[in-house]
Amino acid sequence: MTIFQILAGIFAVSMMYVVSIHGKKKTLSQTEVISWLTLWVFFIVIALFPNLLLGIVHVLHFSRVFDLLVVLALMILTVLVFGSYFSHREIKNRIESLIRQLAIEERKSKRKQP
Amino acid sequence: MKSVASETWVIIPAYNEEKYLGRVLAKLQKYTAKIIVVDDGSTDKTTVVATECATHVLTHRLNLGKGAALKTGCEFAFSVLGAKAVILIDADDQHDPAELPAFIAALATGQTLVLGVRTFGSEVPWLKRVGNTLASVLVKFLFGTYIPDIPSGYKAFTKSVYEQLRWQTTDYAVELEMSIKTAELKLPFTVVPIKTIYHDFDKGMTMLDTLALLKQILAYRMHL
Repeated sequence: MTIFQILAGIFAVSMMYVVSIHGKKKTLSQTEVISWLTLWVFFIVIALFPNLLLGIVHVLHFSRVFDLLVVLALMILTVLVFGSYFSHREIKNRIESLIRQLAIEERKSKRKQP
Repeated sequence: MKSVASETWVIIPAYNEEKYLGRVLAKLQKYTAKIIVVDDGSTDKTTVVATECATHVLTHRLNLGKGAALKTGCEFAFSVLGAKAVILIDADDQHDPAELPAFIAALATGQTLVLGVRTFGSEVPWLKRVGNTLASVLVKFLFGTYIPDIPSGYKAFTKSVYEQLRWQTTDYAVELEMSIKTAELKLPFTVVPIKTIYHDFDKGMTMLDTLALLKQILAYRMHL
């Protein structure tokens, strides 16, 4: 076992701990917890037994397992960034709308007061 | 039927402008009593100063930006007060309220969109003049209409124009979005020459802002 594999394992276990904490705090749903834990278990398995992916590596014409993992990681990151960008925009729009509406309603109610 | 002039409200977006807002409002009161100040989440006494002179003060609980403050002011004016037109003016005393009658006169003649355009003299840094002109040329090239002095926040428009202009931008790029929509929709407009007032507390555009502006123009062109 190489140093890299040990570090990858420690990193994945730490992330599983973070996921479980968020699961207990209910900031992540049960489905999200299971999805994230599955992803990190997969990460540990691949880190410990990279040869499991050799078949896919050959089919996709990658020269190394590491290259395939980098591409997969980038794809996952892109999906997450894309998702959080839209979620951020939606939240920003909702907050803006709420604050503007509050300002107008407050002024309207003050006008009604004698 | 009430005239446009009697149903025109002045909207001032203000963020931490306690120092200059009082001066602006005092000057404005000589020309109109229909003043709406939108305090955009200020942490100073902007609301207190505004309450002393303005007819209506609306307060954002959080700072959203100039575009959002203008939108709040316009929606309040048109939907709640039944305004026929609004005049936008900055809170930092860089616009002269003495020019207000020129905007009202233009609206009274049936103009629906009146743009305040500064006459740039030697007091304005050449870089700003070049950046300003470049933005107008770029908008003309990409959207087909030459809009002078795009960053100028001194403008007036009617309710029907507001409904077409409705902007999404919440920050200072709101002037750009308004200009681009004016160009894209081929909205008729007239210009009113206004004074160029620069203070030593100038919060005007820097070179970086100009670059951001140019980037934003291209983004609008690509509908991003």
